Amino acid sequence: MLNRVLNWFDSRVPVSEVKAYFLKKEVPVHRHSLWYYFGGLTLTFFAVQVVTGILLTFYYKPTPEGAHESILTITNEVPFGWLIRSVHGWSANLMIASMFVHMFSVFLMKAYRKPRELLWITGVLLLFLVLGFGFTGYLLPWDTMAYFATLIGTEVPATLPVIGDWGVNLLKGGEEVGGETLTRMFSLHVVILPMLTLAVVTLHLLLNQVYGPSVPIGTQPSRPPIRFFPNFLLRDIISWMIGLAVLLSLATLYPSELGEKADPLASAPFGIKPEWYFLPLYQSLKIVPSTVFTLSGELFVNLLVMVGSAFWVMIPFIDRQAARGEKSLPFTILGTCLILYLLTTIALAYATT
Amino acid sequence: MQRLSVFRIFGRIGFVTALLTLQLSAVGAHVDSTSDSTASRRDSVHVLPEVHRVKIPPESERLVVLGTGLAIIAGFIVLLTLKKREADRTAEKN
Repeated sequence: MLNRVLNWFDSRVPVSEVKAYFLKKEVPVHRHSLWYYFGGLTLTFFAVQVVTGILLTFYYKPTPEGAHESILTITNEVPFGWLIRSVHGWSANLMIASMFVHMFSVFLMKAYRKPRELLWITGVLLLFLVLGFGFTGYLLPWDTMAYFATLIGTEVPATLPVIGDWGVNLLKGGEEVGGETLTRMFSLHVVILPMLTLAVVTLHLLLNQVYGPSVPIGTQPSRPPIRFFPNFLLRDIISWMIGLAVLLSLATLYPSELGEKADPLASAPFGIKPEWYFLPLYQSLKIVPSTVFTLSGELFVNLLVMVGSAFWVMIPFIDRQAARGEKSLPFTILGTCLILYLLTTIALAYATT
Repeated sequence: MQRLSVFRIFGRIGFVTALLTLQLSAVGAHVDSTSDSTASRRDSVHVLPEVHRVKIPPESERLVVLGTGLAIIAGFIVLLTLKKREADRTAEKN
């Protein structure tokens, strides 16, 4: 019976060809092979996000009156609601952390070089989308910290010329952070960003299947390549299991909390900080002087982030040495400096109030 | 080498899970009795700052959830490791 169903599909969809491809596909083995697992790990956390996110939307009410209460209901009344919410929150953090590790490992191994330019570009786009998830999801519990952090966060683009005010209005849906902002953040978080992410993830995975894993320049394989199916896939799934164990441990030992319901008329609490992945931007805004080259400090940082992001996307076309298969030390130094800068600013932001 | 039956492996996982759950329940109950200052709170939900009204289950319950989850994951890791070894041996022979 099963064979008949499979044959039916096979005559309509090229299942055999796909199967043959995976059975033939090989993964190189060398001293940097460990970094291959972080892409799959990121995808696993993303899958957890999708599942737990869908479960949360069954109970969440995206209105200023209902949002905080519905989070209380999820945490207090819904069976295992506290766990689902906690897993959703921790999984977001772990997904972004593993995504950063994946991105920097790809960068330092120069895996973006020809012919994998599109893999790099789609990967960086995914990072932006995931940061968008983090930003839009932060307001949804509608507690004091979320409210005032979003109030500050939505003002960040205001200094940009031409598009600044338009961008702020687009995010807020009005002059203040209120019901319209919550609706917009919710629709971005559960409809628009997931649709975009699904499209880009699909493209990223397809490209990954076409080009396969890249071997770093000058690295010699330590032994013959292994087959993707089943040898690499089984190793990959073991790494997912380890990731899930870490996630479950964090979610149960440090469950998500909830602050007081947001009161737009109250004064902002002391020590508002964004999530850790926005701390480099937050800390940069703090350390840059109020005026730089006749530009305001905020505008300078915003422009720097925009130009830096465009540069980061275009890296495969800028690093010509890597494209020729030669080692490119300046880009290795650049990547290392960037990692150090991100870690230092995060540590500084936590150390200072 | 005799192939390990999947049912046998899952049976072992189930047994370990049950043992671990019992063990963690005992540990959790001990943690609760020592960490809470009042006996009345021992079996009630743990209330984080009163004003937020967020009721997180007590540590004992969370430890049981964690223990059960970790036991299942550990079982899968054992199963996958055995499968991986088998697949590697097959690949070496070929």
